[in-house]
Amino acid sequence: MNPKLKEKTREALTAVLPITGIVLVLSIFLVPMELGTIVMFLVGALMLVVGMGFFQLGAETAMTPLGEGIGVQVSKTRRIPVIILICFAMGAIITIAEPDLQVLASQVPSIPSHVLILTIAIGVGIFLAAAILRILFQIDLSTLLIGLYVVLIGVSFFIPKNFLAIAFDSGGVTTGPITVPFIMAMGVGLASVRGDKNAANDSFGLVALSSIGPILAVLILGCFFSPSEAAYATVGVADVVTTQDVVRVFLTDLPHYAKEVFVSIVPILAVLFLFQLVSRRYQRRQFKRVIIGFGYTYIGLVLFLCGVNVGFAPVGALLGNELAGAAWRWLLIPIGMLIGYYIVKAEPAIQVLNHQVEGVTNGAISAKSMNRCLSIGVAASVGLAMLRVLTGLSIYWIIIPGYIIALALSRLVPKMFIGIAFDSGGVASGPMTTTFLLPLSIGACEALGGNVMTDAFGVVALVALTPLIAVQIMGLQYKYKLKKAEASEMKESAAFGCTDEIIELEEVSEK
Amino acid sequence: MSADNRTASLRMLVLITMPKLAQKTTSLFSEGRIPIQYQFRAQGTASSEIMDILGLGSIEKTISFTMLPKAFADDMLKKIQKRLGLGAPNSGIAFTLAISGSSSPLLKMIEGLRTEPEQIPLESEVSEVQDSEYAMIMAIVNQGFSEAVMDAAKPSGAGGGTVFHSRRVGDEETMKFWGISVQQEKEIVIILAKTENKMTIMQSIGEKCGMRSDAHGIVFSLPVDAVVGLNS
Repeated sequence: MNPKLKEKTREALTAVLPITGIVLVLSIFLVPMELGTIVMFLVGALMLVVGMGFFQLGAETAMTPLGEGIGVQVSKTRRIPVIILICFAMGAIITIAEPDLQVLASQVPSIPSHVLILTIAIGVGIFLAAAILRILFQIDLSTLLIGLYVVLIGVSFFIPKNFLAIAFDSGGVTTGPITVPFIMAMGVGLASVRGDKNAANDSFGLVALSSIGPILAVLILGCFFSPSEAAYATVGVADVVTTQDVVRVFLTDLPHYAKEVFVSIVPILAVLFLFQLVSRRYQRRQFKRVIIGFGYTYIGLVLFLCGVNVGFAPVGALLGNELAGAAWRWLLIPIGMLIGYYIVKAEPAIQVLNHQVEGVTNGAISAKSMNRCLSIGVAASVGLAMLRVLTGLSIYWIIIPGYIIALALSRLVPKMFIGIAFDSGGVASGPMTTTFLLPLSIGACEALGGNVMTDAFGVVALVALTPLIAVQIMGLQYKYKLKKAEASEMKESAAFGCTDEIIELEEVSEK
Repeated sequence: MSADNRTASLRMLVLITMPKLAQKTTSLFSEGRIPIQYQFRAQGTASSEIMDILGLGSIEKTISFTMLPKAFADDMLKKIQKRLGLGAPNSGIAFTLAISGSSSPLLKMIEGLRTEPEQIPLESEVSEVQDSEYAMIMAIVNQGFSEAVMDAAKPSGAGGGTVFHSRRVGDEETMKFWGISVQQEKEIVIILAKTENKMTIMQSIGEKCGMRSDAHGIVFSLPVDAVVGLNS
């Protein structure tokens, strides 16, 4: 088997199988499910595996080279107005392309869809341009983030309480599987042609700033439209009896996703052609490869979104509902944490982030340690979200102390970790979170008779928050280890009585 | 102090392999008490054009290198071959290059190795390692042309190559603006080839990707001391 294909297959399997296994075990011991539901779920999981594989391959062969290329060319232009314009346009186009954004728009019916999407797109555009300017003018990322989050929390006091959770969710939602590989790669591209010592640190942080844009945009819209509620539909389990029914249900939904993803990907394809026309960056064969890569991304996303929406979402709602309704509802917290621990791995953009981090740091921060770190973070956030569902605790009680901790840590950790941490927040909350974790908490909340608007929503915001803290704690550990290593190196060099003189060596002649 | 001369055969051991196998090597190196080792990322080149276009061609590689006395290096090459199963397709290669000078701390660190008695192999054992009928060709070209280099090299007998990205520093094209210096992107291709094919490979790379082409490439070769893992 082709080694690349093998690697991608293995990656896709390790991402999807654990969460599938957990749900199967739960269905046997705690939440008995109808066979039809389970078959739907398993077919969904299969589509997830195939979709994930294609998506990863596509991200690697198309989205990453394109983003990197644009990043490189942007740093070569040297004219600030052009840079600002390009970044703004890229941010806006990519955001409109993001399929997750449509979901968010449909959840907020009181704000007209196109107004919401345009405002968010402009928000992301402005913040992406700001992120690039930050790099050019060498403004400290941590300081900028502190300032922006203070503004964010400040504005949040002016909007209706019911709307708060969904506004914070929007930040995590908009940085999804299309935006993340692209913007991340752009950052790496920008940094790759630089020789100064901050280059590697500045590879990250673009997604971080870009995900503040949507939150601010939705908050500001919330002030004007004062929406009182969000629309949500709990997906009912499709009534399937025969295997033919299963296939039919998926087939009727597939064209919808095929169209949605197509609309998303066309603007980016246009950007590719325009970019190639202007810069002539890719040789013929490379260009062909990027085009094929777009095909992979398309197939991957269609299969993934269809599988997760049709197969996973109903099971999520059902699980939440049954668990919260049972006598041992406190079990919701540990089970939620377990699901959270394994669900990050199935988030398509996460693998892209981990690869990127491993690449830029030359393996110093391995994909494995990033994975573990994010898993622990998201496990904590799902646990907190379930606690909120059970107790009705206001999201402020978690969000504000959470961001204070995250921002305080950003003063202590090595610079690169700030960028990686705040990027990973936006990355961790993707389609898997919105289609499985959100229905899970909505289902649980409905079973308990709580306020879905305030208690169930907000789970995405929490998933976007905890990785900031988890990754930065890893940064602290890293700093500590590095210090120790440096100390021992100093000792070592002292032992060798360093004079650094150069010695010419002559070969020992052959006997 | 003036530079002082010494007779010692030191080698730089270079290992190009899959990231997973590179982890094994790390433990192998620390077992051998090798004090220093370095690693960085690279990419294997595609085996065919179709695979390349399909995005299935290039696989991730890790390049690791360390410095050793010659006797040690040959021993280590054999150990690496055995432990990592080099020689199987896509497993990787390891080779050594002669070191002609070093700063004294490095020398002292490496010399520390010699005091371990059981580690010194008998001369006769060394013969299993293929001796220097190979050369390492390095081609440095503009970003995006590594495939063109391989296309030029393959008909002349090059098996495969490894690519890593780099920046050209210190030339007039380096641009400074604001706090940032922007540098030209380059790709460096390493090809290990039989000495008999070396000239033709270098010539065809020079013809197709030389200074006058868009690739703007330069090519040179280094003598390789010993090599394991090439499936001939």
